[in-house]
Amino acid sequence: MAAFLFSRLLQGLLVLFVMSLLVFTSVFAIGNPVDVLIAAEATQEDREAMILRLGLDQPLVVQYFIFLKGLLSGDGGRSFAHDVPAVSLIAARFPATLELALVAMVMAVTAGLPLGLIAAMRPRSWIARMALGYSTLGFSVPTFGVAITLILVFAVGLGWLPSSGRGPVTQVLGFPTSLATAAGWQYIALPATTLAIFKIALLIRIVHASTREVIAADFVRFARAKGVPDGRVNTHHVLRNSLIPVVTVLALEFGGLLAFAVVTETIFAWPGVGRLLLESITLLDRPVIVAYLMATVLVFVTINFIVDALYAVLDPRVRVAGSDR
Amino acid sequence: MTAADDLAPAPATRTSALLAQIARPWPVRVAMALLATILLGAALAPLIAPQDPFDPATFDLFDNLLPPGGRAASGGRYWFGTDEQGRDIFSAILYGLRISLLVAVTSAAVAITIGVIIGLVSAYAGGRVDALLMRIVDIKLSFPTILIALVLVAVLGRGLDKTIFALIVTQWAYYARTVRGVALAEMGKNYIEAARVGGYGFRRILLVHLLPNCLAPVLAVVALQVGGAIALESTLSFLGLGVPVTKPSLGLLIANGFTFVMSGRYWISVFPGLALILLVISITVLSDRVREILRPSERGAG
Amino acid sequence: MNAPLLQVDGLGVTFRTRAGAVRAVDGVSFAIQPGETLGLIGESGSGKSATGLAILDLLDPSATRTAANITLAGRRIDTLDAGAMARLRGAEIAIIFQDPTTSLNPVMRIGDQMIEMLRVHGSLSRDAAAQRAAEALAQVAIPDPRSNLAAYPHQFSGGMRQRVCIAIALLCQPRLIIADEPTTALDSLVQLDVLNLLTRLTREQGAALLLISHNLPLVAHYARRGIVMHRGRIVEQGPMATIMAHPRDPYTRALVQAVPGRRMGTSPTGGTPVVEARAASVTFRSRRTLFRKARTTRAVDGVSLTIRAGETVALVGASGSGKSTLGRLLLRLYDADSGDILFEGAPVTAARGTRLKGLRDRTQMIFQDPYASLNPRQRVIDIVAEPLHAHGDGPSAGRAQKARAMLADVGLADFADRLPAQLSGGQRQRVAIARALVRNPSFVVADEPVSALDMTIQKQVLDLFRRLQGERRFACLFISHDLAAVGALADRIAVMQSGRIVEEGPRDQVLDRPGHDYTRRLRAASFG
Repeated sequence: MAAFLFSRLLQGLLVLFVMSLLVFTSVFAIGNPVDVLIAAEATQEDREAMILRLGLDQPLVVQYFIFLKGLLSGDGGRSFAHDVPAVSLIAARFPATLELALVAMVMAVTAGLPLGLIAAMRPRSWIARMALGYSTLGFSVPTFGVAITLILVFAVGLGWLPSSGRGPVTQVLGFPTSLATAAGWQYIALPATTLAIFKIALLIRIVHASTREVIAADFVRFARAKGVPDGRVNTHHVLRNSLIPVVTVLALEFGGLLAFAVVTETIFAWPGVGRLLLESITLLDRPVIVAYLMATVLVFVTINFIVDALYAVLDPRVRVAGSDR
Repeated sequence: MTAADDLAPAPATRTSALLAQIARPWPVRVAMALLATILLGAALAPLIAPQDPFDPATFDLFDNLLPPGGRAASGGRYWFGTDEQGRDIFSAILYGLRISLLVAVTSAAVAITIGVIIGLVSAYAGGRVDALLMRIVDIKLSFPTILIALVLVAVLGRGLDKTIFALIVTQWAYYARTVRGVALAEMGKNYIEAARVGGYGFRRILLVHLLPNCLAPVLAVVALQVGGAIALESTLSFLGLGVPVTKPSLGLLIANGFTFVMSGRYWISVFPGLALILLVISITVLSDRVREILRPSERGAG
Repeated sequence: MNAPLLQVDGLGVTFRTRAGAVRAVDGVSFAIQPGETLGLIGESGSGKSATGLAILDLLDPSATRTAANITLAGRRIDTLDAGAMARLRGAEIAIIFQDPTTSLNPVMRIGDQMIEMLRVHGSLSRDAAAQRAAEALAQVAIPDPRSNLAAYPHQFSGGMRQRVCIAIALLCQPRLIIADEPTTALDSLVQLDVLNLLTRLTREQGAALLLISHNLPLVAHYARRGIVMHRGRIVEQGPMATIMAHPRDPYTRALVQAVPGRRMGTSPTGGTPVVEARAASVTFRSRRTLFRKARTTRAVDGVSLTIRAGETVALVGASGSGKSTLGRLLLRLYDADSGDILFEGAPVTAARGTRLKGLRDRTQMIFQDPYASLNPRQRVIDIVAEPLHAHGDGPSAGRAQKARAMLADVGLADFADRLPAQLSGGQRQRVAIARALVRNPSFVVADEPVSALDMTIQKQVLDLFRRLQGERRFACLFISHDLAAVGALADRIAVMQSGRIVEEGPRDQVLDRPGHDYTRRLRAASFG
């Protein structure tokens, strides 16, 4: 197993390296790097000082190493629009996105997992039919469609919940969160639900498909043939196997949540990283885009690695087994 | 007594029997009818739309912001209302459908071609080539599509062709992996080996034997992917990063109307939204059913 | 007459499929005496497996079971509720499935799966249960039982997994064991060991055994009494000896006759060898990774073999013996690392381009799996005509004619426009034969061409093959794992083990007076 994880780690590092090359080429080699990194309003002297400082007069290879060095030391350039280091900008906004993603995830799992299981184990019940019908629906509606509908119903129509902004932020255990107050929950309700709706649909589908496949497997029948009561068959044999792919998909989807939040954050004016990205794209604040890209790649490679490790822990077949006995 | 051997099933025409089976549950029939209507509406838009939303001469600023069923200054009714420029929402939806479908279908077609080629090459070449290509595909697939699309648009800018390009880039990897998986499975089967033993040429083996048997699973997911492409394009357009204002897709229409939602003028966003939802749902239902049918599921008797 | 242990009356099973309701089992009634071994014989579609599952109410949810009566030791078991049924399963009646690779939970340790059963049916402590489990593993000859309790199923071979399943079945000392094709998925040599183990342990425990199989000679070897099922009904019941010697039902008769008999005499052969291997070897190398050295396997090790025009040489061995590799080597689908391959007198060991094309022109192969050897998207007529098209044989008008003539020759003239999915297994193999012979090759490799077919169909296809070979006089390498089956076809037999030919000679000599120990073991494993 150690060998397996180590090779995965190496692959992750390789991906990071390749991505840094890709980002570098698109920013530095294509187009005029000066325009990308320096605000358009800068004076001629500023431009030349910048060129010297960034080493843009040096050969491309050297520039790449400067870029790499900057990345490794956490320097992602300076934002045009806000004139602060891009990395600090991202770091400041990240907790909001993380909070949103976590709440949405918890909602999704609490609702989606049991529904998917029921749909698989009692396919003829009305719950199952509803759950599967919902999963088709929730899967098809784009996020912004859900968001607008929720706003129409709960904010405009019923006036129960606010439709934009984040609740008051307090520090809990050193982590800035808005969930400590009732108002905070009001603000997060609609955006989190928007994200969760799609995830619940996805989860129902995956759990249903995976469980249905396992239920039909020979070893489940064999377990029943041994006289194991149905309850235990379901927990120890069916779930133990069917949840493995679900867990890994969940981990990957969490990464997706962090990214998908872009649309939701924009509509609900949630001050997170996704909204920052969109603003930066519209404002052509390229250093922030570059920094965001590399940060995202890092997050994804890490999540992928964790997923691989999880899989190895949960499924003994994946661990490179010793000699066959 | 004849042996069980001669019990071969009657040769029904495959396509008609298949279609009948697909259409058996009533939700599928509804979905098929819905999809057909929408596609027809989009195709015939220039003929049946009361207005051309791109031609300012056809609409009247004085008719702006009329609710559904509102009366036009020139007589006749706007059944879906009008937007802030007096454009008929119904016409806008029809034309918007065309753009949405155009972008989605074009990008899907190109993505499928690229994906199939890469998948086949990867499976046939095997070894290092295969490992390298699939690593790239895996990495690409683990990133959420919207992120890739956003970044591409950030780099390339806005526009119809750039949107199509971004959608192609986000989709090809999925097809490549699917095709490669199927191709590997098929290559392990004896009929490919029989073709080799028979001394058939490489081209013949690839085109006559391998390719046709790899396409069926791809077709099963095409509809779902097209649905996803439609949703993705509308998301991009909604964010202002997709199609240009001159060629509004459904997503852009919804974005335009978003500011009016707060003041209760819901129809500018909601009706295009409903059209979008109905389109994607009918595609999803249909493709789910097709996948279920194509999946081998027989559990034989003893 | 003793009271029977299990009494089944009027059992019926209906499956709900896409094609409608299928009556898989219809009005089946039989009894098993305590401690006896009863054979249940049937081919695919006979309903034999469904019968076994129905007794324990383990059918799919899509199936409905109807029975007048199922009684175990005087107590009705077809009307039990779920809890009572679960208590009965494993403790009173146990079952062993066909495929050991899917019978065990892949993410649970072997020991835990055994301990689970013990604790469900009794009140043993964990340690006591572990002890009992280790003893059971030792009984089925699993080495190192204590430490293997912690192993996962995928770490064992198929044969060992089946032994574990046997151990599990016997764990709670049931009175009846149902074995549903327990060795069909296993290699022939392993089959014999596992079956002997199963029957011995069952006998020692005094349990009854319901042995379900499609293999008539196998069942005759182990069971005193037997039941023959065909299309869901029992067509014959009685002592196995009577069934074999004087079958009353026409289907049973066909089944008995399908047991391959020996052919008489040998084919007249032309003197010149068509294919020759001289001290040929093939080595497979696994890839070297960062953490593992490359492994080499000698699949074929210094093999010499000659096949003449018109003769059939059978190549027999267990799986992993290298017989398939050798067959493909002779067709130059693999490259020889050392030694020579000759075709029609000329060396082709390193042939490329036109020389290789010449080989492909005159050789063909027939494969084992009828479901995978035909392109699912081609019509039958196109499949058979394709070799003619690919090699540009004669005017294109004449090719369709030739293909049809070939189809007629294998008895499938009316099937020309069908797709493979519309044919049965035996029909597909006939198409494969037609495809192989349409260009009159001088050498054909038949790789287990009938192993995947029912016995009665096997006979049909083999008869067809033999007739065609007699007419066209091609040289044939017939690969098989079943020593008795090749007796119907072969002129000479070569026995292969671990890449080497350990015995070779005329058919009757090898079958009746085997010289090598391995050959003797193979002979015993084929129950013929």
